[in-house]
Amino acid sequence: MHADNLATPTSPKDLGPGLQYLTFALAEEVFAMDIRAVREIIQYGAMTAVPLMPEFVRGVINLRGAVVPVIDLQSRFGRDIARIGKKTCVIIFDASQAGEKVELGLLVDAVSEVIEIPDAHIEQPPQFGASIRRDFIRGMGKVGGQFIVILAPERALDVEDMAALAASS
Amino acid sequence: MSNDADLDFIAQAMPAFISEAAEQIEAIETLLLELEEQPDNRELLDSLFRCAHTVKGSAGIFGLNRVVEFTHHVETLLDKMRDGDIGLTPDISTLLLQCNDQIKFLVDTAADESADTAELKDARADLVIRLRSLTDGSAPTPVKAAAAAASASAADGGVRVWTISARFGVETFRNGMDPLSIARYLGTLGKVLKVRCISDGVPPLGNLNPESCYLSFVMELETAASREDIEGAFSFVMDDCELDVVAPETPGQKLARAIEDMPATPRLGDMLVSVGAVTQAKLKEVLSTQEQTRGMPVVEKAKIGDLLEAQAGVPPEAVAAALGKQQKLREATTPATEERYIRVQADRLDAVINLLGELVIAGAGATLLARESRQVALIEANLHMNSLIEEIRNGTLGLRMVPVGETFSRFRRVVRDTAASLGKEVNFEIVGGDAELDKSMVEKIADPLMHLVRNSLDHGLEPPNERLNAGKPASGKLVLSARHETGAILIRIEDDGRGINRERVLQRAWNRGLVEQGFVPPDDDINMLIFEPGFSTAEQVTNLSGRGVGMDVVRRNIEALRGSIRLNSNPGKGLQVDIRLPLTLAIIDGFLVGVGKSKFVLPLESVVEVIESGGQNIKVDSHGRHCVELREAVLPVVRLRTLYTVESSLPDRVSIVVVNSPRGKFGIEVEVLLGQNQTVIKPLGRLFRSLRGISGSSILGSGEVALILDVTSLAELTTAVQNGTSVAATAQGSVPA
Amino acid sequence: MNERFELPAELNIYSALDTRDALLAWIADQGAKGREALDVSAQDVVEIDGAGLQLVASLSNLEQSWRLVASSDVFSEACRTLGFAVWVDGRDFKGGNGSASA
Repeated sequence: MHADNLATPTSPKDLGPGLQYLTFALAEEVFAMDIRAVREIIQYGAMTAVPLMPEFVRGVINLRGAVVPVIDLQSRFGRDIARIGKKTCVIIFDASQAGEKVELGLLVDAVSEVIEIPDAHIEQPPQFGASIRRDFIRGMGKVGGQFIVILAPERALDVEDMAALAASS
Repeated sequence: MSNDADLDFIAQAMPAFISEAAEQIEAIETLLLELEEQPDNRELLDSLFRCAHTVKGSAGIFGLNRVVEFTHHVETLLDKMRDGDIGLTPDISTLLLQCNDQIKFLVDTAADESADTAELKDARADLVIRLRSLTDGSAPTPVKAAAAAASASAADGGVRVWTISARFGVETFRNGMDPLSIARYLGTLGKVLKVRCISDGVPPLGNLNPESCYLSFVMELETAASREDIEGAFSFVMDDCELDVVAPETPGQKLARAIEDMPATPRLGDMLVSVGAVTQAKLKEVLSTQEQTRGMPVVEKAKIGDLLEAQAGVPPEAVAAALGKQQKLREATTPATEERYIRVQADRLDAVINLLGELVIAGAGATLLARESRQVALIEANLHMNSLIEEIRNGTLGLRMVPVGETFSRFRRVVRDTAASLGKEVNFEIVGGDAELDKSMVEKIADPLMHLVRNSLDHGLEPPNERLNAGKPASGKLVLSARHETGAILIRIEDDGRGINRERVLQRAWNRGLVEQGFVPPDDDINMLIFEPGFSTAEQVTNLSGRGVGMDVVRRNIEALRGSIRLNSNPGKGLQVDIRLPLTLAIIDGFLVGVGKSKFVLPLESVVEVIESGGQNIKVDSHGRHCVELREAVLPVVRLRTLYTVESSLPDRVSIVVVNSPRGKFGIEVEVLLGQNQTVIKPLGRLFRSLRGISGSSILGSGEVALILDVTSLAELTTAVQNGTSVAATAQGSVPA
Repeated sequence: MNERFELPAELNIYSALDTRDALLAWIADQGAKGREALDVSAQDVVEIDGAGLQLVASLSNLEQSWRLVASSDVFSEACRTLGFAVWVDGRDFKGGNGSASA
C-alpha cells in the first residue's frame, strides 16, 4: 500500500495550519509520525536476520531489489522485541541524511489512519513520565481529548546513533 | 587503409573526429590564454601538450598527414616548454595562437585539399620555420626514434636476429599451455642469443594463484626461420598472449625495442641497465656526475640521457626510447584527460549498471523457474540468455573501474608545494597507479589519502638537517602505492621519517582521558590512538593538516567505504599506513551456502575447495579452537552456526568450505552447499558499518536476501573466538535464544 | 623445519598448489625464527614446467631475499631456457654437470 492510498484524513478544517500524520500502534500505545517521510507500508514478510546486531535491528528485507533494514521500534524504545501478529506491518520511510538517500523499515504492530493535527494542538513533550525517551518525541498531539505521541524520527531513528550502538555492542 | 571496411569506418568516424578535434583546439586556445597569466604553470603546459598530442594522434589514424606534420612541430615546442627548456614569451604565445588557428584550418579542411591555397601553404611553412628555430638543437624526440626503428632494413634473407617478446595471459596454464615449452621450441628454430623472463607481474607467494600465469619473456633469436614460423610457436596461446615479434635492427634500435617491450619501470637508468645497454657500475658513475651538477641552473644541469650517451656510450636510440617510455609512463600516470575517452554522464552509467544488476537477478529467477518447468528448450534458451548476460556484465563492470593512479597523480603538485613551504625535501614516488578501483570509491578515498600524505609531510618527515643528523639522506622518501590483494585493494603511504612517538601519544591520550591514566596499551593500540576523536590538539592542528579535519574523520571515511586502516610505525625509521578497501564490484561470482534458515554467499575467488560432509573431521585443538586436517596441514575452522548464533537444528552432515585469506587458508563449516551463483552486491548501509565478517548483502533469484561473507575480516574474527563461544556471547554477555 | 627448502621432484602445474602452501608455511617458519634470507634448493627437481618456475619466481617479489643453493640439471636447464639464467649462472652447483660458467 502506498501512502496516498490510505484513508483520507478526518479533521476539522478551521483550526489553522497543520500537518498530516500517520498513526500506528506499538503494543496498545498509539504513535504518530509526519506522513511526508513515509514512502509506503508493507505487510510483514520474509526477513533476513543480520547477525551481531542489536535486538532492535530486526533484519533486512528485499524491497523490489533494494535491501532495506527493518528496525523494531518497540525494541528501539527500550522495550521487549515485538511479537509478530496478524496486523504487523513495516512502514518504509525516508531517513535520508546529509544528502545520502537512506530508507528504513519500521516494524509496528498495526497501522491506523492518517489524521491531520493542527500545529496549535501540539504541545511540548512532558518533562517526565513519557513512555519513551524525551528526545525521541517531537511533540504531543491533542486529538479528540487524548494525547498522541508524535515521533521525531530524525532523532529516534538516527542512522549514525544506531550504527554507533551497533558498534559498541 | 587496406580494404573497404576500413574506408567505410573512416568515413563514418570522420565527423566524430572533426568534432572532437575541434574541442581540443578550443581547449588549446583557452589554455594558451590562461598560460599567459601563469607562464610557469606546469599543469597548463602538460594539458596543452596533451591536447596537441591527441589531435596529432587522431589525425594520424585518419591518415591526415598535413595535420600530423604541422601539429608535430607545435607539439615539439610544447614539449620543450613543459620540460622547462623554453619559457613562454609574448612572442611565443602569439606564435602558438596562430599555429592553433592553422591546426583548426587544417582539420576543418581535412577532407578538402583544394581549400589549401599556395598562399596559405606558404604562411604555414613560415610558422613551421619559426617553430623549428625555437626548438632546434634538441635531443631527438621519441617520434624520430620510432621512425628510425620502423625503417630498419635487413631485407636480405638468411639468418637474422629477431626480438621476441611475449606476455602470457592469465589462463595460459589452465589452457594447458606452458611458456617453458614454447621457449624451448623457439630454441630449436635457431640460436637463442638472449632470453630474459620477466616476473615482476607475479604476485608475492602468499597471493599467488599458482595456476594463473603472470609471466612474460623477451628473447633474441638468431634464426633463418620466417616470421610465420616464429609466430607459429605461439599459435595455441595467441588469444591470450601479447606477442611482439620484431624484425632485426641495429644494436641500438634493438635495445630501443627491448625497452619498449618491457613492463613499466620508471627510472631511465634502471631501464637501460635492465636491457644491458649500460652496466650498473657505469650507471652509478653517470649518476654521480649528474649529482655534481645538481645545484646548477637548468640550462647547465646535465641531463642523464645526455650523460649516458656521452659518458657511458649508450646508443642514442636506446636513450631516446627509454626517454620516450618514461614520457609515456608520465603521461599515463598524469590525470586522465577526458579528451581520450568518450565522456559519459556518471549517472547514466550508474543507471545502466543498476539495471544490469536487476537483469542478473531476474535472470537467476528465470533460471530457477525454467529448471522447475523441466522443458528442455526453455532451459536451453535460458542458458543462452544467461551467458549473454554474463558477457554484458563483464563488459560493463569494467566501465566503473578507474586506475587509482589518476587520483594519486593529483598529489604530486600538492606534495611539491607543501614540502617547499615546509622547507623539507621530499622524494615522492607513486607505485602501482594502474591498480583499479570503483570510480565512486576512488573519489571518496582522495581526501583521506591527501590528509595522510600531508600528515607525513607535516609530522612524519623531518627537515633536512635533522635527517642528516640522524644519518638519513637529506631528502625524505614518501611512497604512495596501490596493489591488489584477494578481493581488496591495499593502498599504502610509506615514509622514512620519524614514525610515531609513542610516549607522546600515550601521554596525550592520558591527558585527554582517552586512556586510563597509567594504563599502557600494547604498541599497536597506542599507534591507533591517533585516530580517536578528540586526539588532535591545537598544537597539531596546523594550517596544513586542517582545523577540525582530524584523523578520526579519516578513519571514519575509510570505514564508511567498508575499509580498514592499519599503522606500522618504526620510531625514528618511518611510518607505514595501510588502507585496505574492498573491491565493491556491483556483481560478484559467489558460492552459496546455507546454515539453518540463513543463506550466505562466499566470494568465489576466495573459495579454494569444498570438503563435502567433512564435518566429522573437525577436531578441537588444545586451545579449544576448531580445526580440520587437510593433506597434512591443519586449518582453523569457523562454524557459522556458532559464530553468528544462527538458529538451526543440528543437521546430520556438515560440510567445510576452504577459503583463502591474506592470513592463509581456513575452513568454514556450513550445512548446505548450494553451488555457484552470480549475485548482485547490495551494500548494507551505514547502519551496519561495524559489522565484521560480512561485506554486504545480495538478493537471490528466489527473492531471499543472502549475506555476503567477507573472508578477510572473518579470518580475523576466528582468532577472536575462543573455546567455541560465539562472538555475540562474548560481546553482549548473553546468547539470544 | 629444515634450514633450506627442498623443492619437490615434481615441480609443475599439478604440484604447484601444494608446493606453494608448503613454501608459505616454511617461509612463515623462517620468519618466526628471524631469518631474513631464504635458501631454496632445486636439487631434487626432475620434472619442471612454467608454472613451477613461476612459483619460484614469485619468491623474488617477497620482502625477504632468497637464493638458490642447489640445483638439478633439469632445473638449471629450464631456468636457462625460459630466461631465469640469473638464478643459476655463475653458481657452482654440486651434482651432475650443473656447474655453470661464471
